[in-house]
Amino acid sequence: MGQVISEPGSELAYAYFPLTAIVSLLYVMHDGESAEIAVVGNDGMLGITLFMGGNSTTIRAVVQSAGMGYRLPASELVAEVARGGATLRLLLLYTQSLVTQMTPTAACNRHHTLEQQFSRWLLLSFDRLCGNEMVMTQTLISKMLGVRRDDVTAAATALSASGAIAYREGRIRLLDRAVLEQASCECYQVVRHECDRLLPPARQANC
Amino acid sequence: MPQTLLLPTFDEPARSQRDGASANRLLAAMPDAEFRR
Repeated sequence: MGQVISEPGSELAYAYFPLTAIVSLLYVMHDGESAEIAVVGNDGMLGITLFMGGNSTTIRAVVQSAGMGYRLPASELVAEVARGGATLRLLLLYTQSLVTQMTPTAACNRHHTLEQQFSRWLLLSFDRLCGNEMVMTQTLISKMLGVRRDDVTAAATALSASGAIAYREGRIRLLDRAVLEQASCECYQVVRHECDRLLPPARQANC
Repeated sequence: MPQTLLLPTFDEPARSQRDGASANRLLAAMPDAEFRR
């Protein structure tokens, strides 16, 4: 797994604003099994508990894809939010977009095929990455999706055969976005459209 | 043989890599924030 930024129950000392890094929000069971509930990239921030008032959450935040981002001392974010200005409104909209991402994920994990879930996860990740390649072992993917490694292998093989991706030695390359979107379920489009409605336009990352 | 595992890490950009408004969608939209000054 990647660098752990926060563990369940811990209080963040900083708010994190990724530029090129991607952070996964995972729910971890008592037996160590886990599943990703949302992903945060240059579209958002890690640390909504700082302005929601609850101080900690039940999730683990792990760096999924290495990269850069800003970290802001928690006290500075809290002070800014206390001003009650545009930043607070923006962060509340982001919180709604994060909930929007979690909602179909819960239903998707229950009702859609693993290939569809894997496609959704790839699209959400590539949307937040610089370039069209990510380094990701099947073991890590199985942790993210909460499934067996063999099932990830089967889904990756199917997507490779369709021409959507190339997967070799832990490197996933996006070959055909349209094919990958076809392989996904409606959940990806729901999340994307809602995030675009709620959040300011995306800018190209300085890769 | 022991292997060195290169974990995905989160790093702050060097000063020379900073582009002011930043490429983060939220930061870019809050130019009036006190911490941006």
